[in-house]
Amino acid sequence: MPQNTLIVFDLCGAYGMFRKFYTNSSSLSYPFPPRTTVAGLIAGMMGYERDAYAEDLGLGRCHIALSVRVPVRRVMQQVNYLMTEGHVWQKGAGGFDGSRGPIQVPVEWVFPEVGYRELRYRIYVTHEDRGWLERLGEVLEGGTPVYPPYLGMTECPGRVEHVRSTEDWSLGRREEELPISTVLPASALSGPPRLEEGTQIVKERTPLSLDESRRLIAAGDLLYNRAGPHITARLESEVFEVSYSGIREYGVFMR
Amino acid sequence: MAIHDGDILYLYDAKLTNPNGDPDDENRPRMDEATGRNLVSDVRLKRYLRDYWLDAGEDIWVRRTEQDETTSSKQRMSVLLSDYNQENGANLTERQARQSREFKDWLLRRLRDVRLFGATMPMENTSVTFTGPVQFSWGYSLHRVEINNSATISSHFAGRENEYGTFGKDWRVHYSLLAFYGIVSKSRARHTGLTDEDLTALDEAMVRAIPQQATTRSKIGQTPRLYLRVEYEDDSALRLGDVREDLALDPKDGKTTDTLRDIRDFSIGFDRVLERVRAVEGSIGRARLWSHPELGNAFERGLREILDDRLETL
Repeated sequence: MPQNTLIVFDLCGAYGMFRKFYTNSSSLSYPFPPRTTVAGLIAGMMGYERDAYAEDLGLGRCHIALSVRVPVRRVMQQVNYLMTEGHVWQKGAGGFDGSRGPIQVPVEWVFPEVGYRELRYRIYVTHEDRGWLERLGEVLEGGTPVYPPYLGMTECPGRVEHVRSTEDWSLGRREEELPISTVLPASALSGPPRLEEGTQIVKERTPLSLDESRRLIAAGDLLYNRAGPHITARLESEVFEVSYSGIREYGVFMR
Repeated sequence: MAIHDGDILYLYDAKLTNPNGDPDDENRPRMDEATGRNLVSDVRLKRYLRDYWLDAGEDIWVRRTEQDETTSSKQRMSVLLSDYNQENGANLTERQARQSREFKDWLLRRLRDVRLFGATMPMENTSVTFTGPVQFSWGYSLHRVEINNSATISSHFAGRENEYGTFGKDWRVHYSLLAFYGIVSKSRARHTGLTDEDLTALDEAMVRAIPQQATTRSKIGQTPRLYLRVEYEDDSALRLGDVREDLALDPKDGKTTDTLRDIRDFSIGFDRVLERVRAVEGSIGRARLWSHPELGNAFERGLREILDDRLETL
């Protein structure tokens, strides 16, 4: 099967906040943007409106992988929120005007590890529709994002850098153990990953897909090596291999 | 005039004051402990701007009611709704207002802070989110910041129901030069009806709000130092972006970046920022600059050389 283009770009910024979907009173962050956040980022850059991209960027049509290029650390800060639920309309609910006082919520921010200028996530995207990929390519290669990119929350403005659009890549099952540069769905493993010295594997349960009403329709466990650039493992699922700028990388799409 | 995409760089400094306390930590100045940098939330910055407009007689969305005034029992929306009905000779109930596009548009026309920064507004039994076309990152200091050992303070008023006052700590930074990055999005501006006049009001408030609003005990000692807003031509892709890390602090008189106590203890090197402006110069349609006299005029001269009459000073 001829492959459609694989688009590789970086999302960079001073800091980010990728809210965990299962937290309530506190706002904890993933160390990297989950698939749904990346889908929203791409949709925003392409100019989709808020509830209009669920299908085009859904798991069936769009394949997204992500690699953490700069080690991250987390910083907790307490912030004051105001009640903004619908019932503040009612008399005495006391939300917006602050008469009920603020609600203090701990928020976890993702900062680059000390010594790094900014966060950097590398994103790999392909799609079943070539026209769609061309449009994304145009935005990245010299157009301007319709809605500005940010790292999880609008208070975290960021920027994207196009790395490469290539048809020179392949997707398939591999027998051998491979160093995987991307965050890795736990379900993709056929055995335990190799624990090299210093490896710190973290499992994060993240959302994978939302429907047009922004309801969660798929979630999954993703593994990520906090200490290094990749996880070495033997895999059950398909792996992509791509070469660009003199590097060869292996990755797995989030699903 | 049409709204364009833009970037904002904003610097202010804080001397023996608490730029933004952490309510969960004795109201200590917010810190990134690993780097020793002082942090300030975007909300704190926007609060100065909103209070500035409020003082100037404008209505804004996110406002506190004055305690013990009758307004505190009224809801923000119902106050606005009765204003709407009066102004328009209408008689909308809350339920009808929730479904009225005209009411929503009227709200946006009335509330500058929503047109600029967005809001989550309760409408139609749920809420409608307007994402603000102007967004600020959290600010951080461009150097390590030392927090002054706190004295214990007591307040007899805060604890007036008891026999004794209440005790607290009064944390302050010795000195902090804080930098914010902001963006303006023309696509988001469409959704909130942002006008060029709003941006001019933003420019003005960024320069004037802190001196005027930072007047409580814990906020005195803050001075705006630099404000730059760049507007891009619509068909140009190059962007200046977040240039905070391109500013170089150059301490003077035996000071180091860890022992700064005053704006006169260092100079700011803008060379790398100017390099970046030069690199994207073709994309820039207009830039607006204000800088504090104590910063000197090297940056303005550098920008003028590159941008010529596209540079406006405030």
